[in-house]
Amino acid sequence: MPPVDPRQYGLPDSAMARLAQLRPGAPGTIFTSDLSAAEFLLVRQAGFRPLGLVMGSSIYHVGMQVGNWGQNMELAVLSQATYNARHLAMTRMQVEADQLGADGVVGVALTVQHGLMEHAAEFVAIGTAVKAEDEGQWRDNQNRPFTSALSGQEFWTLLRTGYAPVGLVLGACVYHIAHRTMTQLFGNIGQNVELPQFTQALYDARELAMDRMQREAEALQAEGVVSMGISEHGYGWNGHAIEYLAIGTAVRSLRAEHTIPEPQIVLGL
Amino acid sequence: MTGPWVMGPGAVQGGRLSRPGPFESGLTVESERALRAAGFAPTRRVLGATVFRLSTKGMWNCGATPFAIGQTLRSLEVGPIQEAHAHCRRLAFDRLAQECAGAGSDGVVATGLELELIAGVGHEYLAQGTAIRSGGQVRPPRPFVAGLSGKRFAALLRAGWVACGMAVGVGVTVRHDDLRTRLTGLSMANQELPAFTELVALARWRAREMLIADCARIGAEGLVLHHNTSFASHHECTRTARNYLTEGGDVQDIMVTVTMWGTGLVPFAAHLGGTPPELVINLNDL
Repeated sequence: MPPVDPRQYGLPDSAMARLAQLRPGAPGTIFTSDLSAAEFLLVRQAGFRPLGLVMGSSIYHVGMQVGNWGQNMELAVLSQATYNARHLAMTRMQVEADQLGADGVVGVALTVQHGLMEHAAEFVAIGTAVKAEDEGQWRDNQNRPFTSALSGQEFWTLLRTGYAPVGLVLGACVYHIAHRTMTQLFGNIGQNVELPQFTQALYDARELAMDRMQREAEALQAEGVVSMGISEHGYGWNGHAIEYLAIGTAVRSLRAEHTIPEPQIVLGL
Repeated sequence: MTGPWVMGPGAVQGGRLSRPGPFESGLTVESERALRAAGFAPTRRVLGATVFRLSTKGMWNCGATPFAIGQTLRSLEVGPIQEAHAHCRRLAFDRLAQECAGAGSDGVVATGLELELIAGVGHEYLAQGTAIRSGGQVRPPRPFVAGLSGKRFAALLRAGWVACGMAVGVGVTVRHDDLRTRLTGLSMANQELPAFTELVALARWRAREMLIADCARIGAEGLVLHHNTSFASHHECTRTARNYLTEGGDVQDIMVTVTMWGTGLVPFAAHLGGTPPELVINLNDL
């Protein structure tokens, strides 16, 4: 691509002249956004206007859980706590977006913070509410603003290829891994050996989390889930409790054809 | 309000920054190239700093009374503390702009803000960035400060947006915490803690309100956020009387502080926004 003369676009004089016309303190419509500058430009390019930063949070106390020392099992109270708290935060964020008249929320980040109170955690959902420039149907099948954890770049590419996000979907599972018996412990000394209850627990926990996420996507009548991530965290209990979190963005098809212009191959110097 | 004029010796009249000399840049080579292609050039590395002691003592009354059993307390906004937090950050950004003006530049990009505790004294708020100057004839009346990298600043310019300054939002809320509030956290069952959810939600709401007001102050029409954090701190309740039956011995107030800042933007040529990006596969990333 030949170099572009900035003067062709009126840069930088017109930009500096605009700063001279600023009216500090004048009332007006201001949007706030947690998108990066590049993401902001791409969301605009995709035909959406940012309306404002939206958030939802929940400080949640996790209840008492009893587990069986020698059994692989889901810790249902803990699973439910992490799921409920995230759901509360997400729903509140969507309500804020709805009040702004948004069609959706992009760049959603779901985080967990500790330290406010013992035995409690803060679950936060944050994103940028956007409204489409066109009159299309962008809300989900329950007429709520769509949510998307995709970056601005991914959002732009997704729309260009004929798909639209319908909702951020997640599945959570906290799972207890059975302790080994004394016979197993002594029987394995000095040997290379698989620990089947650990392997099985990882498979079971992962499957439960994935299945829950898939059901959420089905409820939104999505065609698929993109940018899916599965994370595993220790949940204490001396390494015998693990949390699996499956999270992704459910998408639906906007049209039958999904081709994308052939990308150029570049090698940066 | 920028407070007393505090400027590094290099930025005053006749100082190092006001004399011709080699340019200094904290930008990556890629950012610098993008900036020059958009008609700007880096001039000097600039900084703005303030050392500030923030006192919170006696600045709120949590409203708790020792003998009222089952009283309902609400989260309180602590306006003077949140204003003080915001003031320190604005002071650092304003002094950065002053140094930029002293260097004869039009604005600062790639601005970062660091906080460092100086034990026994207070906190240092240090804003640093790279001053840039337009290659054209038009000069803005005041230098702008932007947290955007040179590359992002240039991309926004090409799309018809220019950075106009840094907006700050701080929300500080506090509520009384005693045995009664703590009992909600001792339940066997999963449950939300509404008192604390309200405390944090109110702090975030206050921070966003201030952020939007600050955008209006600098004349921005939009904002891209660079920083959004929250932390909780425990303070001894200012009351001296205790009701050990209903409150327990350890009576505290919990304070939540939410801090946000970002770059304000204004559109200057709406027609520039229509250029679609090109799809590329970068072999360097493979």
